[in-house]
Amino acid sequence: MSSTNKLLTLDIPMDLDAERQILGILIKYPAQVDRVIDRLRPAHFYDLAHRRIYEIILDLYNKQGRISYTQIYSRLRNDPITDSPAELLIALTESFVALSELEPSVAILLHKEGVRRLVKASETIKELALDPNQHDLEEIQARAQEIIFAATQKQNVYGEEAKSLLEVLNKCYLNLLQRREGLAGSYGLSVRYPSLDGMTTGFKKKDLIILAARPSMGKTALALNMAVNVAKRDIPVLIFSLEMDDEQVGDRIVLGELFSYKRDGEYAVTSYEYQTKLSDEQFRLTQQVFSELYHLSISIVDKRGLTIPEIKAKARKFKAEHPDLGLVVIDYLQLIKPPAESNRSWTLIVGEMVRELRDLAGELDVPIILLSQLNRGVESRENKRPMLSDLRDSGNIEEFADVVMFLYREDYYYPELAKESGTEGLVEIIFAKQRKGPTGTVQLRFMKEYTRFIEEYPS
Amino acid sequence: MVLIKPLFDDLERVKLNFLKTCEKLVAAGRLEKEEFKDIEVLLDQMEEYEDQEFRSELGKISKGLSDFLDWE
Repeated sequence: MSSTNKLLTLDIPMDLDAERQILGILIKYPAQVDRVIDRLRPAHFYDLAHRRIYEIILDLYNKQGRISYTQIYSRLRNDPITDSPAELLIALTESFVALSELEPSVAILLHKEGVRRLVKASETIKELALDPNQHDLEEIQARAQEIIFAATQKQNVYGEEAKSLLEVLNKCYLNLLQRREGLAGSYGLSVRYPSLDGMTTGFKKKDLIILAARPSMGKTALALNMAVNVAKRDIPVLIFSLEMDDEQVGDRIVLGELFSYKRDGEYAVTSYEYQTKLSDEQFRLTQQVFSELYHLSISIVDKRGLTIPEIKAKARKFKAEHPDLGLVVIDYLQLIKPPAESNRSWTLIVGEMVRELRDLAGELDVPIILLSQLNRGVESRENKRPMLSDLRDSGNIEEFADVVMFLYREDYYYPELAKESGTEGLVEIIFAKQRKGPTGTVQLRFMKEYTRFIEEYPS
Repeated sequence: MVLIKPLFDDLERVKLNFLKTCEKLVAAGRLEKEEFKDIEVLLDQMEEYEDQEFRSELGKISKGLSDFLDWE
């Protein structure tokens, strides 16, 4: 018998006796509902009538704490799920078992339902893979990963188990001790810009950081600078570049490093020279920069039109191969392909995409920096510094972000004023929202030619 | 406790069978739908009544049904 035929002859995983036993026990001992309610969902019951009875039990228990066969019978009498509610319920009274059977029966149902989900997921993947309309292999693989991931997730009804305050405070105390002793890892991820790190005390794991600005403010440059600074400490970084290809990103990284080489007070290699022709000496110097960068653990995904499921799948794969992944950068939100065939508003779609990326940060246990364009509304005001309300216009991005950073360059909008006031080349990093820290503004100097941000120390 | 719980199941079975019979009577036109609903409520609260009290309450809903049962 072929393996496919063998599979077809197998029974669907279920245990109707266990289902009846659980229902019988819960009707007889309603207080036991509290013991199972956080683990057992109606979908754990394979038999639809049993599922309905469990829903009724939960409803009755929540409303009045009392459950009886007569009440369930009354509810079922007009329910199309069964023609013979009395027989169905009588069968429950006949499956009497001791209260001690509750836990083993619940374990059986959880197991059977978990296996059913896997079987269903494999069937869905098979249909997807064999669909003649699906041509993009990478998209099929990403979708398949999503399906398997969803099927293997623990399905708690009310999320994670509640943690006791003692457990929580123990973790807080441990962190406090580590900070006091200056141990590595006791703060968030440092991006090696003291003014930024001072505001954030490092980007925290599981956080979604929005870095938003109007075009030409230096979003990508700052994100790449931070990524290189992180990678220089042997921390793997994953960059999704939906606008620039890998070579453009590579060139930017090299240029960003070249700025630090000077000869007789002049830059040894200018951006123009790097992109045209270098002298032998300049070439040797640039080779040196390349060698310094070769070992950095930065990976770049430069595919345009990526969807959220594709980003999630690639990030999960990278995390599996690099468990010490420290940072994910996505450049940028508005270039992520929205889900097809959606009749929801753009605001809702963007909000949903951002929420999924925040969940991904939690799942991967790393900070994610998500770059975002701001619309022209900013420029219609006299004060062109971005505000949180500027994000609201493009969906409820702000709601799901743990940190919102805006970039503002006075010399971009008011060059004369910037020259007079000495703010030429300075970029304001506006922390408009920080769940775990203060809001405020810090300044960095932007070497536009080298797409490089440097710390601005007071003279 | 060991004795009571199996009795609970027996009693619930009796109630369900009784409701099943009532349902047939409704289908046969021998019992009104409203009467049936009142019987459902009464059976649900059965434990709160003494036997005679219950019989009397049932008689108020349906004289025929009360006579039909042998409570002794």
